[in-house]
Amino acid sequence: MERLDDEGQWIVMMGFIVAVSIFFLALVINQATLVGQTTAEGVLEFPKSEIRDLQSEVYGVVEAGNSATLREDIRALELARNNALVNYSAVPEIKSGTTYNKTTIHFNNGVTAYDETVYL
Amino acid sequence: MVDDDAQLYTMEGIAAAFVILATVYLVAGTTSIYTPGDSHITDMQLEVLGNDVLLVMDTPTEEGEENNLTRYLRTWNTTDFRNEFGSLLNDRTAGTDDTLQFAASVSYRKADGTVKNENFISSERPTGYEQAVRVTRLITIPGKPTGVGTPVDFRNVPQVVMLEVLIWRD
Amino acid sequence: MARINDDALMSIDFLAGFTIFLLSLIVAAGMVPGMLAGLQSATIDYDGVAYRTSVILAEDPGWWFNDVTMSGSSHWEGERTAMDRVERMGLGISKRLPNILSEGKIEAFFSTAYAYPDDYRDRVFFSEIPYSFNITLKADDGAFAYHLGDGTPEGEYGSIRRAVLVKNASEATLDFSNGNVLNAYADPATAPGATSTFSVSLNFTDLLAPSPAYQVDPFGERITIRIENLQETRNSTAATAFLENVRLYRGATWVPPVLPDANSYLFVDGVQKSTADLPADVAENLTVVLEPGFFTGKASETSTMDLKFTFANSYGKNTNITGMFNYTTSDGNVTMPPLKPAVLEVAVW
Repeated sequence: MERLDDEGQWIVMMGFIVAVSIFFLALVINQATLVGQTTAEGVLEFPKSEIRDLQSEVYGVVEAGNSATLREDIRALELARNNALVNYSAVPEIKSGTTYNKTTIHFNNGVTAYDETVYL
Repeated sequence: MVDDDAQLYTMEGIAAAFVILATVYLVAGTTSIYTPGDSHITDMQLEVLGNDVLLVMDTPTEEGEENNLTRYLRTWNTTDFRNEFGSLLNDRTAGTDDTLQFAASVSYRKADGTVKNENFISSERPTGYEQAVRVTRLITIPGKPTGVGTPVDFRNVPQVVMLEVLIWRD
Repeated sequence: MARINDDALMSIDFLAGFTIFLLSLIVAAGMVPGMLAGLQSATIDYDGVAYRTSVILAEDPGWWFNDVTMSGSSHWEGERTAMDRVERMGLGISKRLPNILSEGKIEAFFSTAYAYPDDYRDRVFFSEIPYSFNITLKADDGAFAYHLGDGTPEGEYGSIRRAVLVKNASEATLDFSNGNVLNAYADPATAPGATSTFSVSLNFTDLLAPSPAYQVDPFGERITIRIENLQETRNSTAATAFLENVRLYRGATWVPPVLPDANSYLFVDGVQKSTADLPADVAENLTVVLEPGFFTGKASETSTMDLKFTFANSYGKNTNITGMFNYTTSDGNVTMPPLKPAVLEVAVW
């Protein structure tokens, strides 16, 4: 070969272009799959109902006298069945003449941690 | 007529073809077949609805009254619970009712401190084709449930129990 | 290759190479639709949007903001004129009580005051993509059914279903054929004076004291006051009663305007009256309906407002109604309906 033959380079270039474009399409498609999946998974993963359920239960227990056995029940049940570490405490506090129960609630299920302070 | 001119054409064509096919093979091998179940959308819809129904049953309809869920658990009334939960779960705004199935169990703490899970309602048709979701609710009862079928190792003190319901589409 | 061949003949080797390339290109192009099929993100997106919309409707009380007075609240159901002030339409009664819906907000949401679909897109969907939607709310016992939007399409659409409780409005019925009511609020044996005044007192502090799911909320709920069988209160040979006006008072000061105004209705014997029709004869029944938004700007959460009915008495037209009726849920004449389970469905496409 006296000189390098530069004919037919179009073919290889077209080959490369098609390959790159297919690769790009595949990347885009992969992302589209993830979008839909993570929307629903995000909803499933965040323990909104569990936290609200715990809140309403704790408010009821604290307003009825804050029994220690009920607290142990709630902690054991949430740990055994919901894999969540839960604790709460209620301390009486006087603000502007009225006595409130200052309640702090802590919830941690390994992925989401939630802390709240409420005057009941 | 057949000679060895333009061998480079052939080689380049084969090279280009090889590049394209190799890429397609790699790409097609890494994308996954996507089924509707993989997106967990139906799971999310069932879980949201199940939590809603438990919340509706756990709210007293009049001030100062006992809510339905506490009453069913206090009296271990599986029939009324099944009817009310089933109707709230399957009611639709138009057309016929939905056909979601469910099974419920109650978790409670025994006298020795361990948590035990007992069946409350078993479903008649436990085989479905789709996955099931679990929804839970904490309920305070004033003592051991009084009703037929109550497990014997309940403590007879005010306690908090957890009702778990498995919901799946038939 | 001593010379370039310009005979316009393609060499067979070139053809072979080009053919191999073209064949593989066709095969590759044929595989691409297979990768794209079934991965239309449309339905994945629609279900997510439907879920988000259902959360805004069922769990959020909404937001109303007046940028003139720089005040905002979650009582957007009373706004009838400046709809731009309604920033977010949620049907919930309070942010602390999810899944309990307020009837005032439901009626405002499904009313014709808002145009489908544009008014809803800004206030419920919050997206630039113009979704079509369909929202339905039906009570489990069939007591009410609301529908908004187009019918669901034949193709793919996303939907979600929520279970909710609906808090209905309270109402007071004073039936003067009942002896207790007659003795408490009328004195038919005595001859009446020149005017008879009957007031209905609304103590907002008392009404708003219970939890939002069980209270009477004058700012967000309709208040209905029915006076029935008024003929029992007439003295001697009177044929009808003569209603002068109905006015709202805070203590001793009159709060204009005269009823019925833009946010209230007055029915005399079943016929709706306007301020031009007063004074009017009342044969038997009188109903006043105060819509949500009536007290906005007129009262605060600690006010006590009185609704005074003034009757002018003359020969042949009088009534002996008197006294003050306290509108509270503990009074037997006030009915507070229980929370009603319902189903809310949102479909988006």
